[in-house]
Amino acid sequence: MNAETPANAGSSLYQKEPKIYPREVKGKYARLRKLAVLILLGMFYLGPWLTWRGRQAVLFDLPARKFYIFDLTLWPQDFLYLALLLIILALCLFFFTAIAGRVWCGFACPQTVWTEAFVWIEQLCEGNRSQRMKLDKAPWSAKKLLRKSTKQVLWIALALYTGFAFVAYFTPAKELLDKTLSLSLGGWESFWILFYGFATYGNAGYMREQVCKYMCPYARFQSSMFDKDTLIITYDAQRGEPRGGRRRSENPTLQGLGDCIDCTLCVQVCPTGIDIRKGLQYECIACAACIDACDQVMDKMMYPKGLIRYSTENAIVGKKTRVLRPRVAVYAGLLLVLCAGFVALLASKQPVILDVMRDRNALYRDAGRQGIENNYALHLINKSHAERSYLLSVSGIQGIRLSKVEPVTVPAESMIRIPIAVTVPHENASGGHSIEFTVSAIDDPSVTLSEESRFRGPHDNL
Amino acid sequence: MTENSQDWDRDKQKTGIVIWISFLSAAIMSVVFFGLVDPDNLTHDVRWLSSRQAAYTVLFLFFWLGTFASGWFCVRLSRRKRQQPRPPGVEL
Repeated sequence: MNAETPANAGSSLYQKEPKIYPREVKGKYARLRKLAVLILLGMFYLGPWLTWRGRQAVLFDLPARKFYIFDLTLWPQDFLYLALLLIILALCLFFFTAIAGRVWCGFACPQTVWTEAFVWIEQLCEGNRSQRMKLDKAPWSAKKLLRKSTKQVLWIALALYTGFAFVAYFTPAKELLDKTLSLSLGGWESFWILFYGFATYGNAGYMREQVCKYMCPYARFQSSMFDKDTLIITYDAQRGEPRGGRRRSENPTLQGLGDCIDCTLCVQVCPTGIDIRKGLQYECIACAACIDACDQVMDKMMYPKGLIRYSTENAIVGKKTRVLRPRVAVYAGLLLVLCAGFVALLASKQPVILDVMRDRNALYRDAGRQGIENNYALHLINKSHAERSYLLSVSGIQGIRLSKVEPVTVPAESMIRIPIAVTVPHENASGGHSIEFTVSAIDDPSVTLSEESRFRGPHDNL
Repeated sequence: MTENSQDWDRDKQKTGIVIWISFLSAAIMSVVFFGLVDPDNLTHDVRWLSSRQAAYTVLFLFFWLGTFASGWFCVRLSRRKRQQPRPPGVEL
């Protein structure tokens, strides 16, 4: 990348960067980002308050170890779904990066979204770029104190509500609000609200794009998903160079100039402080602020828009851009397979879970005339939203019997533990056997699940 | 920290990287671990982990401490030597 040698290195080996005051920008992409921020933050902040069939719609109930997502209830036994979902999301990121570059960074990343919100507050309290620079240079006065403290109060309030909304995904929101208002929050809840709030405050208020430049792993390895057909923000050097100032009435071609008037607005609006005209740099988070700024200037100069634009490396040098290429096809294929698998798994999901654990204390027990007995503990989980009764059965050996034959009733969304003995006649019991427990709902025979286990009897030669 | 301090030196960058990457690792470890293990089964053995919430938080922080320590030492110990060796008391 474009590491510049510091002019006066002095005692420090590393370049000190000046504070960046990004200039506010208006335009197509700024509007698009505002829309994204409103939608995403709206979803995050209002999400805990949604109810669905009398319950919080999205609730990751960690104390009860159950995840509610609208009609879907996930148990720890459904861990596979969560893992699969995370893999699908990661692949989506790869897929969209290969096609459209860092759209995630510019429009959807929480870091961007919260930074945007915090910058709005800053502009509201301290004014635009030049006003902020002036305010920072000015000595402390009542006005400066008022502006700075208003900003801090608003920032802290937003950060705290962010922490609250985060925890409200894990503790029912209404309960959490009641506890907060009556100042009876539990220690762990308070800890997480403050922790998340503080992280938001620090990340969005102060660290901002430094997080993207130095801390984010995605920013550092996304370039490996790029190729010459990936959509990037780029400066059209062929059109822009040689750059230089001129009057609007003058014809640049007669002066031997390109379209870039070297107004440096693209640099002033950049939140990471880079000059896009030097080429693609890893600091660029594809926020497209420079496109908006340059388009405005081009309009004023009555030049065509798009001196800085979304384009691909191939397109900018006049070659053809291919959307469908091996990399994209591989990502898309993997995504399709995983999504299909995910849907198929969800569709075949049984509303009952059966875990069989063999009693490890005794291998077997001689129950006299009845035969050889093994003991098991069955964990039966009813995942449906109503109480259900189930029949238990066992198979695998001639003459195998269960000690419990009457139906078992499990309340809605609960687990019961059933100690159970299995007896096999002496003549069939020697050695080890595979057996199968089956549970089926009485009201719905399609709800049936089998689980394998082992039965052990005495060895013949003993 | 100064207002909007945009001047991160190398040490600050490294610390930032270690904090964030170790946080992500610890978060993933916690999700996997608690997906497979019910902290209620642990709290019998460790009395001060009074509730599941306590277990989630404490173990997450414990994981984070571990991943942070590992990352921090990796970064510190893989530093290249900057200075020439010199006998004690001699200014070069």
